[in-house]
Order: sequence, then C-alpha cells, then structure tokens
Amino acid sequence: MDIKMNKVKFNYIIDLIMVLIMQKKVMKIILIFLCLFSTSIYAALDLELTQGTDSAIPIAIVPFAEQPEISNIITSDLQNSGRFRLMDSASMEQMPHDSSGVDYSYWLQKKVNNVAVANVTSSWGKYTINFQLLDVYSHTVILNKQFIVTKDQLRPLAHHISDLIYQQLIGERGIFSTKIAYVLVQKSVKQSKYSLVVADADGYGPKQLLVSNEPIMSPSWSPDGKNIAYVSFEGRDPAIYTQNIAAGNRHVLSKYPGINGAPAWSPDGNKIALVLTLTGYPKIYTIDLATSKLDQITNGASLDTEPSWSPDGKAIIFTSNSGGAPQIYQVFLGNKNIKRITYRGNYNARASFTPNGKNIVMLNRDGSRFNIAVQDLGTGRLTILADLGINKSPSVAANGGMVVYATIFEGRGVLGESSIDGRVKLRLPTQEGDVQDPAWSPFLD
Amino acid sequence: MQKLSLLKIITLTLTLLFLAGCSSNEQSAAAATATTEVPPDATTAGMNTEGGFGENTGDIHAVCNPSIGNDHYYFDFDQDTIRDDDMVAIKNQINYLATHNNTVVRVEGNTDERGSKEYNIALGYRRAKAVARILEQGGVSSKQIKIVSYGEEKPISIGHEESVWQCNRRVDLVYGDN
Repeated sequence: MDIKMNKVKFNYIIDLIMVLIMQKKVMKIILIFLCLFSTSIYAALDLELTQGTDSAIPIAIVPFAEQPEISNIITSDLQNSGRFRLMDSASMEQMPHDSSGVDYSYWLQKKVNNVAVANVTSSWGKYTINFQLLDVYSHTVILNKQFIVTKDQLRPLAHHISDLIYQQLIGERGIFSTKIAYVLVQKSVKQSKYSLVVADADGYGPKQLLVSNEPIMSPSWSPDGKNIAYVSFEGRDPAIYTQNIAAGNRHVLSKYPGINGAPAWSPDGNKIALVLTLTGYPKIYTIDLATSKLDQITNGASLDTEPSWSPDGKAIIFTSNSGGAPQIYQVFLGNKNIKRITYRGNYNARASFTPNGKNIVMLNRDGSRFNIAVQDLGTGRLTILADLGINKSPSVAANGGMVVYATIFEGRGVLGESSIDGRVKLRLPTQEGDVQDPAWSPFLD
Repeated sequence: MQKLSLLKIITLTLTLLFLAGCSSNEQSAAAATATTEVPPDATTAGMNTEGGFGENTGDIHAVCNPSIGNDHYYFDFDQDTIRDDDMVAIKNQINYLATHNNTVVRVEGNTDERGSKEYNIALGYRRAKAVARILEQGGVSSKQIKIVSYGEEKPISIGHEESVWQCNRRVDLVYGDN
C-alpha cells in the first residue's frame, strides 16, 4: 500500500543513465557520480508512516487518466495523515473518470466511504482537471471542481486537492500545501557543511536557502510565510538574519556580542522576539521591525531563552532556569507579569502554543528521558507524543493537528512527526546527512 | 582508532587553514603581531587528582584531547562549575594574558547534545562566562576576552553516550583569531 515518491526519482535516474551509456566510458563514470550526488539533494526526505489510527476513513482515489502522478500524490498525502485508509489502485476493477461513470454498488461492496475521480485533458501546455469527490453511501457528488494549470503547477494542485478532501471529510484545514524548514548537517572528514533548507511538507523539492561552514539554527517563519529568520554562525559568531524566501535577499537583524539567538516572529508580523546577553545574562527581548526599537522583556540573573508568542500576540512563553532547572514561563507583554506554566518533569523547554491557544507543545524530561509532550493549559494534563530516542525541537503545524520534531534514528538525525493526539506517527529519514531544527510553515495559500 | 585518525586529519587541515592566514577584518594589527608567541598549552599542567569529581577528572584531558584550540575545561551535565584541576590550568592563561595586553582570547562554551538547542546555547554561554570570570578576577581585562557559545552545535566527539558527551561539555580557549 505504501506509495513512495522514489518512483519519480528512479525514473529520472534511469533516463540519465541510459543517455550516459551512449557516451564514452570515462565521461560516463564521472557523470554517474555527479548525477547520483545531485539526485541525493533532489528529494532529501522520504515520508514513512509508522503508526496509523484505527478510525481511518476508507477512501479510494481512482488514478487520474493521463496524470496518475497527481492521484499518487493525493494518495500519499491522505495515507500519511493517518486519518484515511486508501484502497490500493491495483485492486480497483473499475476506474471511472467522472461521476457518470461511477457504479456506487461496486464501491459499496468494496466498503469505501468516498471515491475521488478526475478527468484530465491537456492542450497547449495547459492541463484541465475536472475533479469530483463522491459520497458512496448517499450517492452524491460532494465536491466538484475544475482546475486549469501548467505542468509545474500539477504537484501543488495535487496537494491542494488533498487539502480540499481533508477539509471536506475531516472538518479541519489540511496542511498538505505547507512547508517545513530545517537544517541539514553534512559531516565530512574536512569539515561540516550546514544548509538551511525549505521543503514541501512531504519532504519533496528541498530548496537550499543558505549554505555555510558554520552552524545554522532556529529557523522561524514570518506569519505570511514569505520570510524566515534564523541564527547563523558564519564568521564564527552568531547573528540573526531575516531572509526573503522567494528572492533570497537577507538582512542582519541582530549581531551583538555574545548570544543572538532563538528568533520568533510575532503573530502580526511586526516584531521578532529574540535572546541577547546585553546584560551579561541571556534575556528575552523584542525588536520592532519598523523602528528597530529593542525592548527588554525579562531581567535578572537566570538563563531565559526560546521565546514563543501566544496566538493573540499578548504574551510570550519562554524557557527559564530561574527555578533551578529549565521550565516554561509566560510573560504578559502589557504588565510584564511572569507566571510559571510547567510543573511536571524535571526539565521543560522550547515550548510553543497550538493555534487555538489551548495547549503548549514542548521538550519535556521526566527521569532521564527527553520526550516531546503536549500540555493542556486548562487541565495541566501532559500527553507524551514521542519518548524513544534523543528528541528535541518540536514545531506545531498550522492546523494544530501535527507536530514535527528532531530525533535520532539508527544513529542519524531525522525528523519525526506525531499527530497532536499521539495516534499517528511518521518519520522523515534523510538519504544523506543529519536533519535537525525543523520549523513548520504557516498556511501558505 | 577511527576517531584518532579523523582528529589527525582535522588537525592537519586546521593547521593549514591557520597558516594560510586569518583574514578576519575584525582583527587589529596589534593582535596579529601578538600571535607570533605561543601561549601556554596547559594540557600537561594541572594533572593533580585532587579534583572534586573523582579519579576520572585527571584523565579527561587525555581521553578527549581535542586538537583544536589551545586549552580546554570540562563540565558535568547541566553545570557550569569549574573543576579544581581546570582552575590550575586557567591560572596559567591568566599569567599569559596579563603579560600580553594586546592578545584577545576567544572563550568558547559548549554542551553535549542532550536537551534543547537554544537552552544549550545559554548553558554554553554560562560555562564560558564562568571561565571568563576567573580570568577577570585574575586581573585580565574584559577587553581581552571574547565570550562565544556554540551550545551543542560543535561537538568534538560524535556519538550518543556519556563517553562522548563528557568530551563535548567543555569550554575551549582559542587564541589567534578574534
């Protein structure tokens, strides 16, 4: 049932190798090495569902004529959400392309709740997709859409259709069109290479925003998804940069002596919270992006770091060791009152709110194990999402339904994902290097 | 064994890089001329085993032995307390810096890989600051000290167990670059 993205990559490699066989032997060897190297960058993350949920909705995505790739992507998206059980297209004896060709009794017998069909035609470089989602039990068409796109819009369209299906059947916004930023570390004998990368939420199409010989940390998305802030140690000292993702141009936001760390964009996009050691101790500050005015938010001799804004922008939660070991505190920006939030476990750090403001997701340690945990702010109840391995750096998806985090699997840095209720688990291993410090983008459409 | 030859290659590469010249434009001319003298490398000093953390303390410098930087001090998990034998080594640095007023030393704080990344930057900073405080108490001007924290980002040893972690919880003193 697992449909892997590698099919596309392998076809590409095979085509290339066929061409190379025509060439002279020496050039062939060199070019094979080069293309293997370049395709390993091409799709660096592969999504693997490691645990699904029992209440998955049975659904069939009938392969789209002319463009089975679109239906493959939709199938993977819905499968990897853990909320759907996808019928294997190999066992489909009927493959309608619109509602008039649908024999409901067949799909009823196959025990699927919903069927997705599409008719695809192309002319003059444009593709017309007529898409329908059907409810098998009520015999009705519940979604009916037409799209006209160019070839390179096909993949984003597939993710958009996944979002539509998800929204229709689950009742919440899908995250299939969002992206994940992360840091890729490639260690070699000479030195390590660090890259700041943005990829689709399924790991496809990684784009390098920055490559450096020195560490990169803490990517943070602007609320409109157009810019990213991060810490870079290029030049051997840390500074915070903001970079426009489409254009690639960037500005230095902060380059004081000592720490410049943990940038976090405010929900209204007007300020960035950060950590500086201007007082000799790591403290939380905010910078107003229009005026460059610096505001000191916390003070004292504690280590304060990892600021994260509340969804209404009125408070910041942060990690502080003012009570001894790191715990999560909340400061209200109006009156600068501080209140401690976490009481379970002997170490709590890197907290962030879910979009509804009702929970925080963080790194939690009880005993000696580092877990990714969710705390319900109303009840105080803690749910562990991931406990095996060396876990850290959780980041919540835009719909509050999934959390991505960094972990070590088989000795290498990979990303793990868990649904917020802990039932669905995924892993995104890399083909080379170690992946860390993920940041899930806001909604981008 | 593999780790040793890797360190040798790192040493050779970094030596070549240093010889190729540090073209940092922050460096003053005075500091550049000061690098012709070799500051004390304290790995042979301070081996007294009266350290407050048991018989392993004396061995850690031999076990970890990073080949970059000029001096190294080690710490317990989540702590910034300087060990007694490291205190002796730091005092050697004080003497050097006090007699070479134009030399600036980078005091680089590090942690092992456990815990949260940015909190580890803060912890590394706190370790570096603890060493810097000793230098300042010994009369070294704060203008000669540059504190940097790499947190867990620049481990000297790769692996996921205490024998590796203990080598990464360290402060490195680095001369020669600002």
